[in-house]
Amino acid sequence: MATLEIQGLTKTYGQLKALDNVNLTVQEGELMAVLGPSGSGKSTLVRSIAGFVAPDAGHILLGGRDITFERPEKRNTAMVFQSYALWPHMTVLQNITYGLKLRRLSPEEIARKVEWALDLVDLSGLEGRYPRQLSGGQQQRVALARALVVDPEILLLDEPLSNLDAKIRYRLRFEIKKLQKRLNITTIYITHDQEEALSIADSVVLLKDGKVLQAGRPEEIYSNPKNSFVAEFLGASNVITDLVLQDREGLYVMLGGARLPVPAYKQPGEEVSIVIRADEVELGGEMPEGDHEHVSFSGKVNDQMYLGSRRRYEIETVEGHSLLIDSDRELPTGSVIRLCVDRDKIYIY
Amino acid sequence: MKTPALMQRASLSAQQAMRRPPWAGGRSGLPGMLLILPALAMLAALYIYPLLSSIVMSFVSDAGVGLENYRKAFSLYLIDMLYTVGITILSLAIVFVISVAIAGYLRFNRWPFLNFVYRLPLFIPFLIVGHSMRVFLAPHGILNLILSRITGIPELPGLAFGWGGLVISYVWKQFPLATLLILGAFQSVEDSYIEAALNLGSSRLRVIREILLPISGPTVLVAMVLTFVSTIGCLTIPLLVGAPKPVMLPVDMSFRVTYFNDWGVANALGVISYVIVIVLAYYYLKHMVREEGA
Amino acid sequence: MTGVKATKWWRAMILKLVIITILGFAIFGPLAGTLLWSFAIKWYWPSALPQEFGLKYWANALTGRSQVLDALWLSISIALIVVAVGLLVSIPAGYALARFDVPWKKVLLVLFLMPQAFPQLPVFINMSSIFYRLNIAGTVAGVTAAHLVVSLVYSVWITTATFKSIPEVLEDAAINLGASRVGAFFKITLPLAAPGLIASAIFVFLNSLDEFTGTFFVGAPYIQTLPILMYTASMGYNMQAASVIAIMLTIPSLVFMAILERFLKAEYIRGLGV
Ligand SMILES: Nc1ncnc2c1ncn2[C@@H]1O[C@H](COP(=O)(O)OP(=O)(O)OP(=O)(O)O)[C@@H](O)[C@H]1O
Ligand SMILES: [Mg+2]
Repeated sequence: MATLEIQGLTKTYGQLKALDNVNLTVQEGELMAVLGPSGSGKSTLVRSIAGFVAPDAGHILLGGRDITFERPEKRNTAMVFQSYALWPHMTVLQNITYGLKLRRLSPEEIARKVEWALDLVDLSGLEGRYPRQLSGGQQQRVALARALVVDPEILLLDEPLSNLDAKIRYRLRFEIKKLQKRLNITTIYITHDQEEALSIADSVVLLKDGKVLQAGRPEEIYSNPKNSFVAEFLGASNVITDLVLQDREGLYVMLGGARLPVPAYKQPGEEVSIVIRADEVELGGEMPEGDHEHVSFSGKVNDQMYLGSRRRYEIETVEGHSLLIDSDRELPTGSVIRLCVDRDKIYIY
Repeated sequence: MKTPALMQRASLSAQQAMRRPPWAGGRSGLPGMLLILPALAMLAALYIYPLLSSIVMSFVSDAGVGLENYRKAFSLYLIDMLYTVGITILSLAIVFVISVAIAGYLRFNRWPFLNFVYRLPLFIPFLIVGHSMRVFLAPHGILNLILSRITGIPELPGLAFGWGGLVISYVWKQFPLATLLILGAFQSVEDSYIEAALNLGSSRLRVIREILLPISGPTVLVAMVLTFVSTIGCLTIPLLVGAPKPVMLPVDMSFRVTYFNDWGVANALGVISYVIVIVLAYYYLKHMVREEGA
Repeated sequence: MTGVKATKWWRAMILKLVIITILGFAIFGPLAGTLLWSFAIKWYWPSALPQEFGLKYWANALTGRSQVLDALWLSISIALIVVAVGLLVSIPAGYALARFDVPWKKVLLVLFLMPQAFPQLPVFINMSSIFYRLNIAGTVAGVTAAHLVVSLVYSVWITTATFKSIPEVLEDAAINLGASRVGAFFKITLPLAAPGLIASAIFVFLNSLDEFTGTFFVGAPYIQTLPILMYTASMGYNMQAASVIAIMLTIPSLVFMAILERFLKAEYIRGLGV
C-alpha cells in the first residue's frame, strides 16, 4: 500500500495527445475514480501506471519510488482488466496461484493466501472450475482475487464492471468498495459511469482529451462543476445555450420569463450555457413571495414518459428552450405550469 | 483478426443453407455430391487406391501372403528405422525451439527484418534445399571455407553426408512454416492475457511458456505434426545430404524399388512409416490433452 | 539516468547486429553458395571465391537446343495442365464444400488433406507400379496425374476457404433480381473469388514445377523435368549446372512470394484450418 504520485504525465500517439500533462496524487488507502468519455485517455493512464504504455514525459512515483521506466513485471501493481483476462487454460485455483508461484512462496504460504483470497471474494468451492464455467460476476471476482492475492501496492481497475448487467454491477460496486476499505489498498477505478464514480470514490478525476478537467471529492465536484462539460458529464440532463443580454442592472439571460444574472466576465451578445439537472427542479406550485433562494419560471408540458417510479417531462419555455424534468407528480400534456429551482442549482458558464 | 469474422460468416451461411427449404433453392446433399465427385474420383484413383495398394502389397511376397516382408524389413533396416525416428525427433525439437523463439519474439516486438527473413526458406523447394546444403555443408563447402578462415584450422570435417547435415537441412526448410503457424496463433491470443501475467510479475519467457503456448496448443500441435510428417517422408534431402549408412527410411524404400525391384519390402517400410506417424501423432495428441488438463 | 539508458541502447543494438549477422548468414548462406556456383567457372578449395567467374553454364543452359530449356518447357507445360485440371475439379468441389449441405463434409475435407498429412513416397511407388500396368508410366500424362494428387490439397482447401469467405447473400441478391443460380455463380461469386483462386493456382503451379519424388518414380527416365535434371547434375557433382537449374527453379518461387504475400498472412493459413 502506498501513495501514488503522477507528475506531468504526457503521452502522444502521432498527433493525438492521449495524456496531456496529467498531475494527480492518490493517497494511501484512497479510492480514486477516473471518469471521462470514451477516448479521453483513462486506459492510457492506468496502462502507463502498470507499465504497458511508455509515457513521453512526466513521472510516476509509487510509494516514493520512481517507476516511470520500470518493467511491468517489476512494479507490483495489480490490474483488473475490463475483459477480466482470466487465462482460459487454467482453473480458478491456477489463475489465483499464478502470481504467488512467481513470487516463490512456500506451498503452505500459497495455500494460506489462496484460501484468504477465495474467502475474500466469496468464491470458496469454485477452485476447480475453468473460467468458461463461471458467470460474469464470478469471473470478475476471480480477477479481483488474482490481483489482490499478491499484495500489490496499488490496485488498478479498468472499467471492471462494464461487462456485467445493471443489477450485478450495482451490487459488485459496493462489494469492491467494502473490500478496498477493508484492505486499505490504494486504488484507481476507471469508469465512464458517473453514478458509479460518485457513489464509491473518495475522490473523482474527470478526464477529457487527455487533460484533467477537474479533481476533488465527489460532493465537491458534483456541486461545484467547473464548466458545463463537467456539469453535463456528472448527470445534468439540460444544457441550454443562449445569448447574454444587458440592461441597467447588468448582464442576464432569460429562462421561462425569469431573469437569471450572468457572471460579469461575460460580454453582452456572447453565448452562455445554462445547466440544470433533471431532478433538481420542482414542478407546479408557486414559490413564496420574497424568496431569493429560488428562481421560478414557467413552461408548457410538451411530452411525457413514464419511467416507473416517476415521470420525465419535456417542458418548453417561452424562449423556445426545451428542458427535461423528472417528477413524481402527474401532469397532463399541454398544460402550462410553474417550475421552481434552487438558485445554487442553476449553473451558468 | 480477419479469420473469426470470416468463420462466423461462414457458419452463419451454413446455417442459412440448412434452414432453407428445397423449393427456395435449398442446397441438399445430392447436387453437392455431384459437384465434388470429379475431385473425389481423382483422389480415389490417384491417392487412395495406391495407398491401399501399398498396405495390401506389403503383406504379399514370393512366399505368399504373410508377414515375410515385415520380417525382412526389420532384419535389414531396424537401425535405419531407429535412425529415422531419432533424426526426425531431433529436427522436430530444434524446429519447435526455433519457431517458438521467433514467434515469441515477434509477438512482443516489431522487427520487420526478422519477420521477412524467416519466411524465405518457405519458398525454396526441398530439392533445392538439398542441393544448396550439399554445396554449403560439404567438407570443402562454403561454411567450412569461412569457418577455417575464422578459426585458422585448415581442414574441418564437413557436416554434409552425415546426421548433422540432415538435421540442419530439415530444420532450415521446416522452421518457417512452423513459425508462421505458431506466430499466427500467438497473435490471436488477446493482449490482456499477456499483460495480466506481466502485471503479476511474470517474465516474457514465462509468458511464452505458461500463457501463449498452452493457449495456442492446437495450432502448435498441427505445426509439429506437419513438420514431423514432411520430415519423415522427405526423399530428396536424405538422398542429397545423407550419409551412405545409416540412411533415412524413404531412401531405403526408394533403393528397394530402384535397385532390388523388391516392392514388397518397400511397401512394408512404407506401412511402417505410416505407423510411426500415427503412433507419434497419437502420443503427442494425448500428451497435449493431458497438459491442458481438460 | 541518460548514461545508463545509452549503454543499454548500445548493448541492444550490438546484440541486434550479431543476431542479424548470424541469422542472415544462416538463411542466405546456403542460397548464396548456390548462386556463386552458378556463376563460377573454376572454384578450387581453399579459395574464398571462385577463381574464375563467367556466364558459361548459364549460356549452356539457356541457348541453343539445350536439355535445360527442353526440361523447362516440359515442366511449365505440365504445371499449366495441372493448374487447369486442378482448378476445373476443385472449383465445383470447393463451392459444394463451402455452400452445400454435403453429408460427411468433415471426412471429405480430411480426405483431401491426407496427401499432405501422410508420407507420400509409398503412394508414389505404388502409383508407378499401377501406371506401369496401365502403360502410362514414363508419359507426360502419368507425371501430370502424379502432380495432381499432391496439388489437390491446396486447390480444394483454398477454394473452399475462398468460397466460404464470400457472403451467400450476394448470390441470393442476384437470384432475387432474376439471375439463375448458375448465372449468379459466374457473374457474382466467381469474380469475387478470383484472388483466392489465383492464390490456389499459384500454389499448385509452384508445387508442380518443383515436384521431384512423384516425377522420379512415375516418369523416370523418360520424362526429364527441371527438378529431375537438377538432381542428376547435383548427384554427379556437376555443381555449376545443378546450381544454374536450382536458381532457375527458385526465381519463380521468389517472384510469386511477393504476390502471395497478400494471401500468405498467417491468419489466412489458420483460416484454412491446416
Ligand atoms: N496504441 C495506440 N495507438 C494509437 N492510439 C492509441 C493507442 N492507444 C490509445 N490510443 C488513442 O488514445 C486515446 C485515448 O485512449 P484510451 O484507451 O486511453 O481511452 P479511454 O478513455 O480508455 O476510452 P474508453 O472509455 O473507450 O476505454 C484514444 O483516442 C485512442 O484512440
Ligand atoms: Mg479504456
